[in-house]
Amino acid sequence: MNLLDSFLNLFTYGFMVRALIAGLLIGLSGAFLGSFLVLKRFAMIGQGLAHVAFGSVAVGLLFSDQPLFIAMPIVVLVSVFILKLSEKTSVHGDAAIGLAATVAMALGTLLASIDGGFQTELNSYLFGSILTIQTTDIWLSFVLFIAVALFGVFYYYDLFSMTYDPIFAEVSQVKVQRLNLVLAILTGVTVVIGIQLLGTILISSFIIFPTVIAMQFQKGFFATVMVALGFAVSTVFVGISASFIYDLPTGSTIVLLNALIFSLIYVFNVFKGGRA
Amino acid sequence: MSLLDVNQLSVKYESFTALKDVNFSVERNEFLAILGENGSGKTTLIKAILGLKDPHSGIITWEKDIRLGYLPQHLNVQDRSFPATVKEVVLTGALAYQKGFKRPTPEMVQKMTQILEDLSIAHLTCQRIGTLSGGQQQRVLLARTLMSDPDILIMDEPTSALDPSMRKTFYDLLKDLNAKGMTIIVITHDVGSASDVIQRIIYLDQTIKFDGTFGEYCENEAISPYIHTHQSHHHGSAQ
Repeated sequence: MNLLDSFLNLFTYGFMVRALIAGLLIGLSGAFLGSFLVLKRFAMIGQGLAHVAFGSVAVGLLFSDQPLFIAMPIVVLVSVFILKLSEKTSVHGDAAIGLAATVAMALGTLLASIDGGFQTELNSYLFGSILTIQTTDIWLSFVLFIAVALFGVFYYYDLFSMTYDPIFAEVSQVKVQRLNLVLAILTGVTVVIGIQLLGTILISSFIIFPTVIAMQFQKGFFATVMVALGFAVSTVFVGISASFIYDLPTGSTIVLLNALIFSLIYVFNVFKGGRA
Repeated sequence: MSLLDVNQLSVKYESFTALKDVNFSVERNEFLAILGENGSGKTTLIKAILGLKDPHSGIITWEKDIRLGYLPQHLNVQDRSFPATVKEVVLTGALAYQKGFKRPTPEMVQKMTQILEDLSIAHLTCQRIGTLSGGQQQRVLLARTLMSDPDILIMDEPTSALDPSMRKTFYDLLKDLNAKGMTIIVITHDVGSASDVIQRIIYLDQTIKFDGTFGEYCENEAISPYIHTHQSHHHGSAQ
């Protein structure tokens, strides 16, 4: 079977098609939100929330075989909590993320040791599994994508203003706190839906990598967001396809593909003299 | 009612009192300079009247539906790799106040071009702001502020990154804006360059030590050495 046949064969498997659709929708959502989070120096929120999701899934598994529906409100609440903690107190954003993440991981591990019955299922959320993606997850991803798209279309300029200069935005009566709240909620939802695909360990790459790659092109903000979205689509598509064709773990393939692209562009820029 | 009324304002940072019982009013079309030594509470006062720092006590009252323009001392974003062009940054000044679905209009772009030309930075429109010098960045931030047609322009050390010739141009521009009706409050050490435009001076040292005209300030024996110190410092550094 040649490469093209292997690639086309992908579309005959329902779980692969579901993984592609969900992956593209979550990848686009993560990349768009990531454009603001990375530049607000909140890039690690994805990683922190993924750890929180791990603990929340453990709590969810105690009560249900659909743990994500229990994990989602918990992660969203923690996301808002992290934001408020860094806004209102002397605790820095990265410290707030570290606190929430370690407490949640400790909770998840503790619950798994007390009730050993769901240890295996909980571990599947560490690295993700495209086999577990159901039609319901595609609908959830679609609703998330629409919510992020509407947020972006209606509030792009306010989001840019508060990301670039939050003090100016506040003085100019941009609703900075409200926008931050929506950003935190959407990020929490993206992380929870995305952990089935990439797992808690790798999901933050959906938020961080596209923007970091796009920034290497040294363009304006809008161009950077567009390039990030483009890379999100292509790396998810190529990563999932390659993982199917060569029988590789999907999450790792997507992350390493991103890392390879970033490294190539970075090295090219260094040799071109565009970076010290 | 005045454009701005500050009554019995006190601001604290934990146990440290930055401002104590500050009282003053600003009328429309005034050109007010706030002076004081480092740590005298000038920037805290600006933050408080902009709503960025909550007062410990006292009341700040603005005239209804006032549009504020704020020019910080320097770029709040210190990350030079931040991907934003001059055009994107300047347009946010107008877009912040646009109602409903926010999008740049041809009128906004035309106005931006005019302002950038007035500030001699039109050639930088498509450049990334992180690649510009401190003085150029300061002019971009002023352009962003002017895009919102503010009723009052509040500036914190606006000329600190500008060279002497640009300072003169900068204050000439402020003089024009003031003549067109814009109220201006400026924190400055650069009294020398601004002496022909400043109408009123407040000298701050946790509380208001002096509030009067430029002429009265120069004649005030208790405080006037300050102006001479800073003027000579300014002229010294200009050479």
